[in-house]
This record gives sequence, C-alpha cells and structure tokens, in this order.
Amino acid sequence: MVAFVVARFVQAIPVVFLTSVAIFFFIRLIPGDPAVSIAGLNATPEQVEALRHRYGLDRPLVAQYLTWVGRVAQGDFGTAYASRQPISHLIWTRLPATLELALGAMVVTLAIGGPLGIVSAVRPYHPLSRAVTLFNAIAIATPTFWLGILLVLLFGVRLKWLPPSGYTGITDDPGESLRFLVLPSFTLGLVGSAILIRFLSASVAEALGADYVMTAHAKGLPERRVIGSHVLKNALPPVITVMAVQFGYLLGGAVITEAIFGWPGLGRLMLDAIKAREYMVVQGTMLVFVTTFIVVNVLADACYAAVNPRLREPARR
Amino acid sequence: MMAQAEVRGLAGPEQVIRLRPTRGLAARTVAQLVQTRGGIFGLSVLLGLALVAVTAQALAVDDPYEVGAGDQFESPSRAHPFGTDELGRDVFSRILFGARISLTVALASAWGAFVLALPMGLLAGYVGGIVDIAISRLFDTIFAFPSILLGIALVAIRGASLANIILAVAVIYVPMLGRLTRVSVMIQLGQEYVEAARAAGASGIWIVTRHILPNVLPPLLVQMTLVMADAVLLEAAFSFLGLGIRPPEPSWGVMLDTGRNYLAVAPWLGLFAGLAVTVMILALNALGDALRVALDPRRYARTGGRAMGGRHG
Repeated sequence: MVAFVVARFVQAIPVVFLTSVAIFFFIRLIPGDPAVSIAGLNATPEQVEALRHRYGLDRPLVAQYLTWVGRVAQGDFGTAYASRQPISHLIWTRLPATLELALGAMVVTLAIGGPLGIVSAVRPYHPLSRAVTLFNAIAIATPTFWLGILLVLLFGVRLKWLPPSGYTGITDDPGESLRFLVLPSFTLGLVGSAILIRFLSASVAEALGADYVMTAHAKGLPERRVIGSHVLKNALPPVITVMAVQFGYLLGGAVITEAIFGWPGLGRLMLDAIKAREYMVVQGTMLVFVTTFIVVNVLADACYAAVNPRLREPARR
Repeated sequence: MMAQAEVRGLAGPEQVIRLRPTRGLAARTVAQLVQTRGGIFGLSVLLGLALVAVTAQALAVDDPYEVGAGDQFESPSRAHPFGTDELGRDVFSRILFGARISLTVALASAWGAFVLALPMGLLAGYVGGIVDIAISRLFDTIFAFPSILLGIALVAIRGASLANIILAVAVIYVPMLGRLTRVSVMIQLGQEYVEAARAAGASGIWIVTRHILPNVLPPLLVQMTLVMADAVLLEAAFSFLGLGIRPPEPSWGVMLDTGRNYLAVAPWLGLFAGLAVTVMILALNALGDALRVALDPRRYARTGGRAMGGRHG
C-alpha cells in the first residue's frame, strides 16, 4: 500500500516539474517588459535598467527559472510588484476562503448527489429517477456563471433571503459567514452533484447486478442491508476517485464563482493579478493550483487503492 | 482477390455492388441519430441555431450595435422581444449575433484541436518508443492544468481576441483528443487484420490511412461534439471574466457580465444570454450522446464524458 502511494507520487514528480517549466515560460511569453510596466511611464532608462537588475530580469531565462524554483521549494514565491507584499503571504491569506468554499460545495454535492444517485440506480423506473435524469442533463449544461446569477437574482435580489455577494471570515462571525457561503456553495456544488449522480448510479447499478447481491437477497437479507453492506461497499470506490478529482477542481478552478460572489479566494487573486499584470503572482498561484490538483489526483488514487485491495498489487502483465 | 472474383462470377456485377452498404457512413449516422429523442433534439436545435447565426442580419429586430435603438432597460415587449440593455440596444438582436460568435468558436476550436491532436496521437500510437513518451508527457503536462486556468493564462498571454480564444480552447483539448487517438491506434494495431495487411506487404502509411484511421475517427467525432460544448462554455466564461471578447461585441458571455451588474433593474439581460448558452450546450451534449450510440452501439456506456459546465468553477 505504502509502496503504491510512493510510486504514484514518484510518477507525479516529472509532471509537476514540466508544469512548473510550462508556467514559467508561458509567463515569459507575455508581450511587454515587466520592468517597464513596474517602473511606470515616467521612468528613465536607468531606472528601468536598475529595476530589471533588481528583479533579476537581466539574467538568462534558465538561471531565472532555477532561482524561482529553488525559492519556491523553500516557500518563497517572491514579492508582488505593486504592493511589495510577499506572494506566499497573499496566497496564505486567500487560502481559508477557497477552502471554505470548496468544502461548502462538497457538502452540497454529497447531500444532493448521494441519495439521488442511489435512488435512481435502485429504482430506475420511479418517477423521481426520471426527474433526476432531467435534472442531470440540465445541471451539467448550465454554466456556473449563469446559475450563480440566477441564484443571486432569486435569493439575493428578489427574496432577499441571503446576501447576494461578499464574505465574512468563519472565525469573525460564524453565522454571518455561513449565510455568505450558501449561494456560492450551491452554484459550485449543484453541478458537482449531477456528476456524482451519473457516476454513483452507474456504479450502483453495476453492483446490483452482481451474483453476491442475488445471494444476499436469497438468504433473506432486508433490502436496506443488501444495499448498505453489499452494494455500496463495492460501488463506492470508483465514485470516491471521481469526487476526489472534483474536490481538486474546486480548490483550483473556482475563478468564476469567486468573481460572481466577490469571494476573496485564490481564484480571485489570480484573476486580479492577470488584469493587473502581476506576473509573479500569476505564476505563483498557477503553480499552487496545478500542484494541488496533481497531489489531489494522487491521493485519490491512494484512496481508491485503500478501499480496493486488488489495485494494491503491482501490475503484472 | 479470389473471393471477389468468385462473388462476381456467381452473382454478376450488380450484386457485387449491393454487398457494400447502400448508403454512406454520414447518411447512416444521420438516419440513426433521428431515431433517438436526444439525437432529434440536438440536431434540430443546432441546425436552428446555425440557421439563426447565418441569417442573423435578416432576423434581427435592430442593429445589434445600435445604441439607443430603444430606451434604456426596456422590459421585453413586442418591439424588443428580449428587452433592451443599458445602452438601449436590442437584446434579441444581440443574442442572434452572439450565436455567430459561439458557433464560430465551437467549430473552429474543435477542428483546431482535431488537426493538432490527430497527427500527434497517430505518431505516438503508431511509432511508439521515445516518440510516444515525449508526446504523452506533453499531453500529461497540458492535462495537469484545470482547463479554465489554462485558458485564462493562454488568453492573457496572447491577448483577448476571437482567434486567441479559439487557439486556447484548441490547445486545452489537444490532450483529450490526442490520447483517444493514441489508444485507438494501439487497439487497432493489435488486431489481426492489421497483421494480415502487413503480411500482404502494405506500407505503414497505407495501414494508417486505410485501416487505422476509419476506426479512430468515430470516437474522435463524438469527443469533438463535447469539445464544441466546452468551447461555447469557455468562450462565454472568458468573456464573462473580462478576458475574452470585449464589448461592444455581442458575445453571450459579455452580455452575462453586463447583465449581472443590472440584476435588480433589468434581469432579462442576464437571463436570455445565459439561456442561450445553456440551450446550445444542452443540444451539443445531446448530439454527442446520440452520436456515441449511432457510431458504435457496443461501446455505449452510461458514464460517458459529457461536457460539464461546473467543472469550470
């Protein structure tokens, strides 16, 4: 088991390395000289040159890359041009909001998708299951930005039940914080629930057809027990993987939802940095996103192996 | 050769021709598509949208760029079916012209991804070895980025324009199409008929174009409809975030972005644009699902990968 997880992490290292190279050189492809944009319009050539030297922009690209990676490995992402703040500090202060939103969305996903996914597999011809199919098709096609706008319109503007946008830290005022959390969580989590329903119901349906289920029924176990202890135990592992990947997306990709709800998370940080041409910040947040995403994927594989012993054995072909 | 000659000898030339399918692949596929509800829905909605995009000029109530075609924020009426926006422009006309942008991005980026991915996937799958490793690692690297982030980065680097959005979406989906091509090639290479062709002295190019490609293309076609759905979504998302198509162009994403600022006074601004995006994605997803069944009923699986709006956060 440990060997399996270690092997997966080792396999992920070249991908992390390649993405760091890709991110670094992508950013260098952006037209325009960062030193000129930092110095401003009225700067003399000498000032620009001094800035270029100060940020190490006059050194060869490979040397710049190695310095950057070396510092990042020690937790130093550099400083933002305009605010002079350490980028690692910016990332740390945005992390709680992003985590809170990811967890909120996950709760919505599991609360809606879990029961509906099981019901639509166990009772495929029940009217509820047909409604679930329709819900799925629509939920998957609805863009998050539209869903967000619709929810704001209904619950924020018309009914005034919930604040249309904003954020309060969970430690500052837990009740208020949760009120702000509801709409963004539903915006992100609803589509996740549609994905969960698809995979869960397919997985449960497959497990329902297995011989041991017939045996369990034949020996007179109540259906609740059959589903609970036989079907789900076999149907859940692949679903866990899908949900772990989904969580990785939530941690990294909530740019749109954060923009709609004025949520001060990592996605907003990156979006604002792109608009302000703060390339070091873009570079740092991108690296955090991609690394998180890769690590979550590896952990998902590990979870899968933990619940499915057959995968732990090294593949012999 | 012998078998064909024998058939001809027995049945005459007419019957030989009848041994082939009576209709082409395209005609058969369409015939199968219209047998499913999803296929009919997807096909008819998309044809309708394409028609709207082509004839937008004639169908439009007003010039989509004309400021003050009506008053500011007129609610939907007979003169302005979807109301007017913050500059008094007719929303209905802007939605019609927006279909042009969305369809252009969808078609161009799906073809772009196809053109980039096909040779790479064929090379990786057919040549194997170091070429396969290099191409596969490249795919892994692109795949490691959440798609919306990669798109944002690419568009930010190259500048916001229609062409760059198309390029960004194409690049995002190269790994998906490329991996699919590579795997299909490898599956086909293991088949006996490829071995037979090789034994008969067929060249590599002959085997790839005559034997492997026809088997690789159908699953690619299915994936391309899903790429189109994601392309519609991504274009709207970029424009919504202010990184894509810029006002005054009538992109649905731009209209949604403006719409959210006037939710309290003019909810129709965001409503219709979002509805347009959703309907187009629904249709493309339905078409993709139906195509999957039509092109290969055996491989049909319930857990097929539709384009997923929410994955873009």
